[in-house]
Amino acid sequence: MKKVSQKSLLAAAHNLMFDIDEVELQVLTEEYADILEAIECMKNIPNIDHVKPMVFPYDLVTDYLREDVTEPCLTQEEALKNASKVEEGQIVIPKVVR
Amino acid sequence: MNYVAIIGLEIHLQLLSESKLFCGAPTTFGKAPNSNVGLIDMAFPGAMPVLNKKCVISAIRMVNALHMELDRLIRFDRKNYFYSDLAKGYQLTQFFHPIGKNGHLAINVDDSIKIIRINHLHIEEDSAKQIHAKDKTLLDFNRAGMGLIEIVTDPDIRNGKEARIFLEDIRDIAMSLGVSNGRLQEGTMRVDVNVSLKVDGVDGEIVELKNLNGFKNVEKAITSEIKRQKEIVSSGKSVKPETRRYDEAKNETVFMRKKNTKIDYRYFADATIAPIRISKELIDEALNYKANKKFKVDFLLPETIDEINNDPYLFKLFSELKEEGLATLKVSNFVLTRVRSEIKRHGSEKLLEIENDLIDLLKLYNDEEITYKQASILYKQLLESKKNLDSLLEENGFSHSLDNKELSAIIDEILVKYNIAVQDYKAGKDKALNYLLGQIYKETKNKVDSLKIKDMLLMKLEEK
Amino acid sequence: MDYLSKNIFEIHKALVNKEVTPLDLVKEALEKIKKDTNNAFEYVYEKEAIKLATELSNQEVEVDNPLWGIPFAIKDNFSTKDIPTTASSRLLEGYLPPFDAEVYTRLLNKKAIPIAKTTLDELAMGGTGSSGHLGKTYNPWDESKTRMVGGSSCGSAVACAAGIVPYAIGSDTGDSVRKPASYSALVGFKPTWGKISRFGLFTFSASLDHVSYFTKNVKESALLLNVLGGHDDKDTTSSSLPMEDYVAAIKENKEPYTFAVIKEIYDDLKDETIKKAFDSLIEELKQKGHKINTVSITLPIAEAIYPAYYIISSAEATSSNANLDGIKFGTYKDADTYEEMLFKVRTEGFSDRIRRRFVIGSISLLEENQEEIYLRALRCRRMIVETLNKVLESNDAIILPASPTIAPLFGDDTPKKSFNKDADISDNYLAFANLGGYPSITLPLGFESKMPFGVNITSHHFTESKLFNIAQVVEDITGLKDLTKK
Repeated sequence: MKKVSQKSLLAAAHNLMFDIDEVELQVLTEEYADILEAIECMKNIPNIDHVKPMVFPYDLVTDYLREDVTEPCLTQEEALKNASKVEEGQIVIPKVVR
Repeated sequence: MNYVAIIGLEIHLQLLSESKLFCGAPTTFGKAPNSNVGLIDMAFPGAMPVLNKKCVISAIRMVNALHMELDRLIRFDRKNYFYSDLAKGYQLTQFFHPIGKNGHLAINVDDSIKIIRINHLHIEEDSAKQIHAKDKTLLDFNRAGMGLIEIVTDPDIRNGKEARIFLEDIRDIAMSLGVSNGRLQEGTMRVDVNVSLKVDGVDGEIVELKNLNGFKNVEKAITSEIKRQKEIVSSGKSVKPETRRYDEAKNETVFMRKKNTKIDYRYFADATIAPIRISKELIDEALNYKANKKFKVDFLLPETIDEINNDPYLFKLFSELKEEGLATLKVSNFVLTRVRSEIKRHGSEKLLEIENDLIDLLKLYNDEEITYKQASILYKQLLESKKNLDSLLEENGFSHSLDNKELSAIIDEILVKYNIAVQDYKAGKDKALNYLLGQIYKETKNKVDSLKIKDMLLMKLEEK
Repeated sequence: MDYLSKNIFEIHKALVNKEVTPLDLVKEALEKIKKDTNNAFEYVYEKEAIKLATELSNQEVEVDNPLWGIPFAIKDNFSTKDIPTTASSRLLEGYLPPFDAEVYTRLLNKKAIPIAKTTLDELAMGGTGSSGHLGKTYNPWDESKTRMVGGSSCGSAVACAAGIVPYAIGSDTGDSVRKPASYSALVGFKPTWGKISRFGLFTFSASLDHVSYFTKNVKESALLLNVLGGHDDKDTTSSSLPMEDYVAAIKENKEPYTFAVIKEIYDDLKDETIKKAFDSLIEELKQKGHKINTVSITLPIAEAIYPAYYIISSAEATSSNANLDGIKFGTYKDADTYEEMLFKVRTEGFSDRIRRRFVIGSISLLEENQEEIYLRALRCRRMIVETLNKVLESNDAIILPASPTIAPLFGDDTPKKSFNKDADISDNYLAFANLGGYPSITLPLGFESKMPFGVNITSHHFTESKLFNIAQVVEDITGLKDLTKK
């Protein structure tokens, strides 16, 4: 069974661009251990590792494609209405270093 | 020491289309910032992607032109990472099931033909444009959601010149098929180059070259990078994995950043887009496109191309072959050696009569179902007897194609015999499919078109 | 006069007979909202609804359109143009969407009157109705304000159960409408996955999300499917199968149906009152000529429903909510660098519960874990669904208590852990209808200590008209319909 490492849980949180404090990390560690246990139990289903993963709830195939025609899109005002800082039609964010 | 440069390319082509890949927002260039933005481009919650038909058609054309296997079921995956130019926090791309796989392009380098294998081709969406000012970054989402295709080669390129010729050919093909205008300077074509040095048979670390803004510069950048790596290795040091750019003035590559430890993009299948079956009609629509009036392939000499374009029969034949995906080096050589001589002897009237059979014959030859010699014999018989290709094949015993019933029986037998592989496939092991195909090919002795076999096999596996 | 506690057809009749006008209805709803103490509302359409109702009150009633002029409520994870939409998350406070969700548009086209956006568990992830940025939403049936109404569609459940609106729109990714329906004596319905367009529903887990809704009887539920169901080019996962008139399809003389009771879930029931009520329903069904089969799906499969659901939904959710960065919309926080800004926005914007669930979802997708966690959950999904498909091929429907208890008390730690490994099978099985995308409906079954509990019926893909007929059979037996807490 997989091991739970607090370090990797914290790294995963940081990868998702947020922090978690120590109390939360403790709860998270327990939750993750519970998940791993449940995953282990899934092995009790005969043949579980030999079936194809199921992404959609049933076989779903369409042949619908959108014709390449333009539709009215957002006006600049609508597009930027919810942005906190705008300069000359562009959204301003703190400097991206990368 | 023996050095070999190992070079692979990752090419992004921005697709020509009126609207974006997943929504109806226009793609017009040069509009005011954030005025060509659809709901999905800025990832407003609840927006859903709807795939653009033109972009799929463009991808099918490229897949066909690059002799790739077409995946008839279009699926998208999410590539997850945070970056300011990525509105959704993930990019919709085709990681697990690229629309095209296992292709090649023959390029002409100093009058000799070189085959560059193409690993895969997939559809994905472009990101927003950023301007990094002194103390802030500005975002314009007009470019976000534009359709792209990415073409990834196998590491078959050995020097800068080959890379340049390959890229120019890709650009020419994309332009002539109306897929992309392929301008490196404007960013409608973008190239990342992976260069490493194999020293005495041992692979070296890969250096990635980015931000290359012209075909000539790609060549020069690679040439200077190979030189740099050779110098490092000769002096007993080792090349570091890093990303570099090309400094035109100095004619050398310049360090940009260290290669990060591999980023885990947590790819997984997207469920906001229903998988799309590519119909026969859509393929026809994509490929019946009359591209350029003049016939052009990259692996023939200019004089030969001129000759083809000036001879009505050859022009017609080659154009048809191209549409059928048969304008390969192999077929071209057959036509130029065997067919050209017959034009003089028989006149093109007679040749036109057997044109359809000839194309079928060339298809068999191209698919390696018959040999050059067999093809020659059959061609001669086609001209001289009044018999059609099928009866000639039968008579000569060269090949006889199995009918659906016979094929079906063979596949059923294989599926029973190799049930383990069937189970493996059901469990998601795609290799099992190739194994099964291999067994069927063996059994059918290449008497059936491989695509037909694959289609029927997949159908049967579905039913299992 | 109290009109909004009546069902849609009764209110419609009153409108047609000019006993009441849309404006009267809107005023009644606004009055009730003001008095309501269950914390169910994110936004109330005071001015907008009065304006629309005034316009409608001067027009002829559309006699063949039962939704005309009647107020409804909608969960705050549906995009509504220029109306604040938060998904009950701090991060989305102040967001004014630039577009309308498809279901909302369809209701507006029917001249239905939106009266309120309702609370939910943050981002629809949760089942307690207590994790949104406004805190706990209470069960209207419990005057002591100690019991939950369930989630995540808590506010919509309240709006309907308290007689503020005759129907309310929600979403159901695991059981988010069908479970609260059980706790509040409502009919909670989710159709086949793909039956109703999800365009404009905030994506949580695209492979499991469904538009769903609360009504007070089965016929209303069928009526809403007539309006909301059917293909939408804007959602490619929406089905192109033809629609039916689901109201007309409910027949008087019904054929005998075959019901499956899943042994592993039934055996897990502990509450004697609920068990007894369910047993006597089964008895009555038998007496009316219906057939009951007890079927086993095996314990490992029954136990896997909840973890498989939890892993798949969390994995998809971590990605679906990666658009929440405060840049294009939502609460922005200033900082020196982009990374710092993002950290602030997402740390302060999400509750810790959501953050933990995102971490679990994300970690299950890592290359090193994907096979063992995420893909195993997807393989598990196939096993569960193939097993259930077989059950539904040889039975018309699966019938089970919708919840093993009445609405639970809020504990101190209610929102703490979001995955509970000791959770009862019978308390978490409803997600099987999301994993398989089956139509599924919860109806009132009985009361214990004056608190309601429900029964759930699930049928095969795209058999909604049969499901409504079966639900009607059950509703006729229980006689429990049009219930509101007054």
